[in-house]
Parts: sequence; C-alpha cells; structure tokens
Amino acid sequence: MLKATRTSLKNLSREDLLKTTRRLLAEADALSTRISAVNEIGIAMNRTLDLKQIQRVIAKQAKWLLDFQHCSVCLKHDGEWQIATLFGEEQPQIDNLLETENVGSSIKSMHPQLVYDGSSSPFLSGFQSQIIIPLTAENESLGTINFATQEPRQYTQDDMRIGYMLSLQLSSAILNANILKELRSTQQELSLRVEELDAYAHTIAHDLKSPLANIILAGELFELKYSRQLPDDANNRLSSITSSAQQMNTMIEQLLWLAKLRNPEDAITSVETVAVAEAAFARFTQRLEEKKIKTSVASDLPVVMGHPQWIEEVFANFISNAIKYMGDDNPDPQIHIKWRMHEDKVCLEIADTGVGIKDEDKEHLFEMFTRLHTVKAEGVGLGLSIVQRIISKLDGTIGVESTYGEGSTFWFALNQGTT
Amino acid sequence: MEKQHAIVIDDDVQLANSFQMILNLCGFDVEVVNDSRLAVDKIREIQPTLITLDLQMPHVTGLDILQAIRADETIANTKVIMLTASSYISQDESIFDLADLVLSKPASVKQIQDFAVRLTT
Repeated sequence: MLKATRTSLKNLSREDLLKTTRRLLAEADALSTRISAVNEIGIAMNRTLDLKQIQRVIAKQAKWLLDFQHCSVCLKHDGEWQIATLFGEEQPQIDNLLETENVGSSIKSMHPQLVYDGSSSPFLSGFQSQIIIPLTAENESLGTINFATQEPRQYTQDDMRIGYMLSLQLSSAILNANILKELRSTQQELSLRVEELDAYAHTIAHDLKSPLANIILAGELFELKYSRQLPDDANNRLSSITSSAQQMNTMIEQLLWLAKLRNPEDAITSVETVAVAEAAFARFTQRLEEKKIKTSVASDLPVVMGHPQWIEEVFANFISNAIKYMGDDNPDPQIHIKWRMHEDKVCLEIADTGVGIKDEDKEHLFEMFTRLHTVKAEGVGLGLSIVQRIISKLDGTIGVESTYGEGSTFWFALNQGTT
Repeated sequence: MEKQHAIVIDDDVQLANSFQMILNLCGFDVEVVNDSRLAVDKIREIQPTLITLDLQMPHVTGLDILQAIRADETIANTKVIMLTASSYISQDESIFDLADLVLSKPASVKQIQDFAVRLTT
C-alpha cells in the first residue's frame, strides 16, 4: 500500500502532494489518538479488580475509540453466557447465545468478526454494522466485546484493530478479576476449614485429656497407697505407665499450641524478654536443681516484637533441650540467656555447656524442624516444630552454633520492640 | 475437729472417684456429683468448704455452676478449684475472676492436695 502511494506520488502536483501529506498526517494523528486512548482505558481497567467497575470504565471511555450506538460484553455467569449492555438500549436476552452467528461463532472460533450489512443472529438484529471481538486468556474463550451501529458499512478493518487492542486489555482485566474472585472464595472456604479444624482439635484434646487424667491420677494414687507393698519391678512398671501418660499429655498440649498459633487475635506487641526468659527458667526449677545447673539471664535483654506466651515457649523449648543434652557427668553444667544484634534484629541466645552437636549432625539439625514427624528423638516430640512456627510467624530467623564436647548456643533473631 | 466437706463435680465418673480419693487423703469428707444439673442443689444442701469443678460438662457447664455459686450469698464464699481441659484452649476469661484457682488437666495428686489444703486453711 505504501509502495503504491509512493509511485502515485510522482505524478502529483505540489498542491496535491501537500494535500495528501496533510491527509496522511491527520489520519496518523487520529490513529495515534485512538491508540493512546486504548492505553488510557487499559490503565483505567487495570486499576480495579472489580468486573462491574471494569465494565463502567469501558462504557464511559470507549466512545473515544469508535462510534457506536450499542456496546456490550458477553461473559459467562454461573456457567451461562450472558450479555451485559454497557451503552445503548438493553437488548432482549437470547436463549442460546452460543449458537448465534455473531457472538456465538466468535466465542467458539476465538476469531473477530466485522459485519457490514446485518447478520441472521437474533442478537443485535436491528444493527447493520457490528464488530464482535473475542475475549481470550490462556487460550480459553472468556466471551466477546461487541460494538454496533444501525447504519450499514460503518466500520473498517482499522476500527476492528482498535477494538482488538481494547479486547486484549479487557481480557487481562477480566482474567485478573476472575482470579481474585476465585481466590477470595477459596480463602473464605479455607478459613472455614481452619475454624472447623480448630474446633475439632479442641474437642479431641478435651476428650483425650479426661482418660489421660484418669490414668495419671489413678496411677499416682495407686503408687501413693500401695508402692510399699509392691516389688521394685512393679513400681518401675507403674512409673513407666504414668510417665508415658504425662508425655502424651505434653504432646496434646503442644498440638493445641500449634492450633492456637493460627489465632490472629494474638496481636504482636513489644515484649520484655527478661521477664519472659525468667518465667521460662522457672518452669524447670526442679530439674535444674536436680542436675545442679547454673543459670543466668542477662539483665539488659532488649525488648522484641512478639507475643509473651510464644516467646516464653521458645525459650522453654531451648532450655528443655539444653537440660536434656547437658550430659550426666558434666562437671560444670550451665545455661545462660544472652543477646547480640544480628543485622537489624535482636538475636537472643541460649548458651549451654552441654554435650554439643557433632559437625555431621549440625547439617541435619535444622532439617529436623521440617520433618520432625519422622524423627524419633526422645522427648523432642513437637517442641521444635512449635519453635519453628512461632519464629516464622514473628518474621524471625533461627540458628545454632556448637562445638562437640563443649556445648551449644541456640539463637533466634526477632525484630526490635519499642520501649 | 469436725471434718471439712468437699464436693467433686465432674461428669467423668472415674476421674471424680480419683478426686474423691485424693481429697479423702487430705482429710475431707467428700461427696461426688456426676450430673451437673444436681450440683447447685447439692452445694446448698452440704455447704462445703471446697469444690472441685469441671469446666466442660453436658447440660450445665462449670462456668454456669460457678456463677450460680457466686450469686447465692449462702454459698458464695465456697472455695472453688476449676478444672479445664487445657490452658491453651481459649475460654471465658471470667473463670479466672470467679474461681479461687484454675488448674488444667491432668493436675497431679500432689498439686491437688497442696492447693486444696492451702485454700482451706
């Protein structure tokens, strides 16, 4: 086409040449205005993820692009194809839209249609000129956008191209809106499931705890009343029953803890870590005394962002492990809680003089956090998975430094709180 | 000295029996109530010094009973140990204001004995 223009230009007078140049410039100008209008509409559409709002944007702005007496979109609602009129008189609803010659065949073929002189479709029956453009995303038909005017032969291929550009923007906006809608409903369903699960966990815990309390109390009472009359072996077996029941109780408590960690009502606040660390030590008073373990909490531990009960649980888990791996004949058993800055976070350290961790075990130590259920370390149970969940909920990090035979320092780093 | 009275209110028959034995060992004269609907009448009748009360029971909950106790001035001063399934289950915070002590299950024999004696002497 350009070549033809160039050849014919040779034969034109200067005046005609000027006229042609002006006309071409005006056409280019008009086209560029329309293209920038498409962009404007695209930006406006992508500002929202609400389908109704997207349609309002088109109804208001598409007049910049094309002349039309009717503008509509055909989209799927609850599995049915339906027309939403955006501009012009409401069209009567058509029962079998998918079988229509204009909209139906564009949906099926995913090809645009330019109608010059009316179509046999009952949809847009009074309109001679029509542009029907499919809306597609990821090779799937989302529907069509339709422009129409009553006069015949009003639209050109250029008009269809402009409509096509608009359809690309509209398709992605519809796709995003649909994804958001799906996401919201999935989210709603998920939070319902979580609520159900929590209720279930509570029921289970309550139902499991009563028989467990029975075992523990009956065992202890039995021991209290009859232990003197029993041989040592029987007494040992009896303690093993009650201590297993206690262990199971701890695990149920920890399962409940895990369920509780989901609770968004537990707001994150500034936590005074000195008091929390001391409370965690207090839980083990008896065991610490029995093993003659020296303890200390640095008096200047900083304030961190968290939840007092959660952080106490983290300290308690690390202290419990430190006691467990202190070593039976340790000449100088100690556990100290200290701190340092780690990048912009407060790093709280639980340092012990226990048996330490072998280098080859260190690598796997943190794997244990993620696949605890396969690890049968005595007493570890759910403890470490609780620690991991708490720290990740608080946007923190966790780690360990250890020399085998000299002791370990477990640490967790949290955001600094405000005093 | 006359024995002090205690009432154990728990729908779990075996658990209630264990509590009865534990409190007996501390020197209490103990009545057991398994049907929570009968609890308040029994308390009014016996006027115990101490009650151990399960929170989650069918028909009438431990909290309902506790509120009834505190609202009736003839029994309002009774010492109440409330037993809950777990401290990690969210529950009505008012139990902490109304009960003299809240223990989560399973409390040990020693714990129950210590607290029972401490509350009533």
